Amino acid sequence: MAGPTFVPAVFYKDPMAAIEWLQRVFQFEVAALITDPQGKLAHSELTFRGGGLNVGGEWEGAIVGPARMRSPATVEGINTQFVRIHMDEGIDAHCEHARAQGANVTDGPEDQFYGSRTYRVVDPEGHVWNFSQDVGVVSGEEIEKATGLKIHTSLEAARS
Amino acid sequence: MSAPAPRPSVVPLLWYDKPREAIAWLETALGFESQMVVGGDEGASSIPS
Repeated sequence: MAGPTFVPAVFYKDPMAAIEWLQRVFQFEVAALITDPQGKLAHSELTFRGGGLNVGGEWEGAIVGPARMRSPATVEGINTQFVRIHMDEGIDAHCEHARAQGANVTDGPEDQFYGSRTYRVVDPEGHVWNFSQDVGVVSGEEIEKATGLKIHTSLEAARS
Repeated sequence: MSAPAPRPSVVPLLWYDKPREAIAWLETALGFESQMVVGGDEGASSIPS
C-alpha cells in the first residue's frame, strides 16, 4: 500500500517520552523505531488512521543547512506548525480519551462554521495538535457570507 | 485548478511571516498547487496539493 503523501516531522527534547505519550493519549501506533547503540532514538515512524508522522529528537546538521530542529519547549513555546489530523468518525470519544489521559485540551470539541468539528491539544513539550471531523457541508458562499473573507481557488485569483 | 485529491489524514499546517509569498514560492519552487486561498495578506491560508 502506498504511504501518505505528506508526513510531518515533529521534534522533542525527549522523543522517546513523546512517542509513549502519543501512543497512550492519541492512540498513535509505532510502525518503525530505530535506535543507536546507546539506545537513543535515531528514527521513528508513527501511524494513525492511514496518516503518518515522524518523531525525532532535537538536531542540526549539514543536510538541513542553517535549520535547527527544536522542540517548542526549547524555544519558549514557539511553534512553526500545527499538525492537523482528519478523522472520519469518533472525534468526541477520541477527545474524551485524550482528556482522561491528561491531555491539555485547549479548545473544543466544537462545531466550526466551515463544517468541521475540531478540538486542539498542546502536548507536554508544546506542539499543537488539531483534530477535525466533517459534520456538515458548507458552501464557499456561505463561509464568505458568515466571515467576510474571500475564498479563492488559486493565488492568482486571490491577487486579481 | 486540478481536482482535489483525497484528503490525507495527517497534514502539517505551516505558519509564515509572509504567507502569500510563501504560497507563491511553494508553487514555483516545489510544484505545489493551491486548492484554496482564504483571507488577505495578514491572514492568508491555503490548502495546497
